[in-house]
Amino acid sequence: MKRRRWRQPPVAVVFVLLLLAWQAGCWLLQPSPLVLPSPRMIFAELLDDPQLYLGNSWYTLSNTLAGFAMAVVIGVLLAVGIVYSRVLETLLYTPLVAMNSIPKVALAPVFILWLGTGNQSKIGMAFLIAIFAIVIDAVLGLRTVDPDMLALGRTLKGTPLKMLVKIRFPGALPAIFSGMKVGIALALVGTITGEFVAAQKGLGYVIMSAQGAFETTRVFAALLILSVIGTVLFYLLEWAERALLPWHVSHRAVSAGH
Amino acid sequence: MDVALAAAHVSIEGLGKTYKSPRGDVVALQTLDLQLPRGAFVSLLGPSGCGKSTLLKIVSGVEAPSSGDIRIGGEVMRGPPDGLGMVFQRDVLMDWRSILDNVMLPVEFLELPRKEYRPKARELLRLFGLGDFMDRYPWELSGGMRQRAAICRALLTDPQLLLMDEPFGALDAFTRDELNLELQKTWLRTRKTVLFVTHSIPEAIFLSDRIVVMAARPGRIVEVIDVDFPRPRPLSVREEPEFARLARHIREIFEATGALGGGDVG
Ligand SMILES: Nc1ncnc2c1ncn2[C@@H]1O[C@H](COP(=O)(O)OP(=O)(O)O)[C@@H](O)[C@H]1O
Ligand SMILES: [Mg+2]
Repeated sequence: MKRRRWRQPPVAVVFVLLLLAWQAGCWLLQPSPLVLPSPRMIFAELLDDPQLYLGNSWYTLSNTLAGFAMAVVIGVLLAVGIVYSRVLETLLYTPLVAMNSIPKVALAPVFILWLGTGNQSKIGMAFLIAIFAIVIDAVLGLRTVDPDMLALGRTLKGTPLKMLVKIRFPGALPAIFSGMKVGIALALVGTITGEFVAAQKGLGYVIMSAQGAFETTRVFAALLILSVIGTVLFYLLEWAERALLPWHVSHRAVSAGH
Repeated sequence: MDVALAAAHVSIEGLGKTYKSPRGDVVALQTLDLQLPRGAFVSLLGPSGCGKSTLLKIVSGVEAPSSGDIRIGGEVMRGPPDGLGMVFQRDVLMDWRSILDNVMLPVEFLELPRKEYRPKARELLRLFGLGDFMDRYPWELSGGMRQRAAICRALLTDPQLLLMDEPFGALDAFTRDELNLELQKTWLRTRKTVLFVTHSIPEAIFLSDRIVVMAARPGRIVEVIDVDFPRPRPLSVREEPEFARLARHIREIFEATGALGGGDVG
């Protein structure tokens, strides 16, 4: 157990080590705070106005989670439709895969026009960017079923719903989770992009307005929070995956060690 | 022998199957006739590609025939029949279900009362030596144990017809012998009609009342052989001269049909 921990230190430890290295670099090289503030200055800035950072972080986080949740629900439903219907596959999947290659960030101004400068456009951006990864991985997961398992279901007179709920969906969960882990990071990108284009709130707005005023420390404070949010969300999903799918190959070595 | 006189449980008439593929059609089965007497243990024995799996898929209703038809209990079959148990070469257990829940799968699909079948599933697992593993997951079990669980799953709802597609093909020789004995015991107890696919000559002789020897390209029956060793058969039956004679006879059929050229049959 000890050895495993050495091989893979907890992410929090890595985070602190990085901050310490950054702090040490600032002591040694003394860069201008306008270029690169030290972690000490950033934490001082955070503590100086915690209300500002808490409020804006919550705004960004809640929009990200709302967009992500919509992307998961609608994405998985779309994937089921695509796997079960040729028409939907032609109508949705092919364009979706094609659209995935265009930079969706460029769509932010359109969303602002459609949904306004409030949180709806941010949720919309988070949703749009996250849903691609989720649909594509979910379709892959639902399709790669063991044919013998489907044959078994057919000999047991399985209805399409039974085949979905008892065979395809559980088998697709690992793929859906890997789509979700990519999707959560992308949802955060979507929210921030929306906030860059037009917003009065959120960490993206804090970054843009601080940048306009040359308040580099404030920009970095917001970036630090963003990276913490992104990391925590990712690891929450990973934790949920381990808890829900203890049977999956990628977790077995770990669960056997306990 | 008496099973031959019993009424046919499954009656296959003029069955043909051609797979259409872009590189031309494959005749997997050509006008095949076969009767499975009720309660008989019948093996399909032949080289890879002779259509054994195809025949099983058609009898299980998973694949439709190109011609001919199948009667089960006198009725022409349309789609998966009632009272069918299926065992594949790979155990096809679901990794996300415990062994007990895997065995319970047919009950959930056929919407039978779970309360009634749960004790039956436990009893069956105990009978197959898996009493201590009911709450484990498939990946925690050895190949032989997994295949035992798959057999329990096929037996749970007490189907009258059991289809087995090379169920022991992926197991080592010891486990295979063990499961051959166990299958014989189960069959003697329950007297189900069994259609068993193998490409092992000794396995077919050891287990069967009747061996259907097949050849490939096109898939067809070349000979049907009745096996009369008294039951229960011990593993040592394989050393009897009559057993060796039967094995040689079957090998000669394979040589005559060219099946032994590629070394497919063991
Ligand atoms: N789904 C399929 N599509 C096209 N050809 C198939 C398909 N399934 C089986 N075949 C062909 O049919 C023949 C019989 O296959 P199979 O029934 O699997 O034989 P066996 O189980 O005896 O090895 C083989 O030539 C195989 O390539
Ligand atoms: Mg086969």
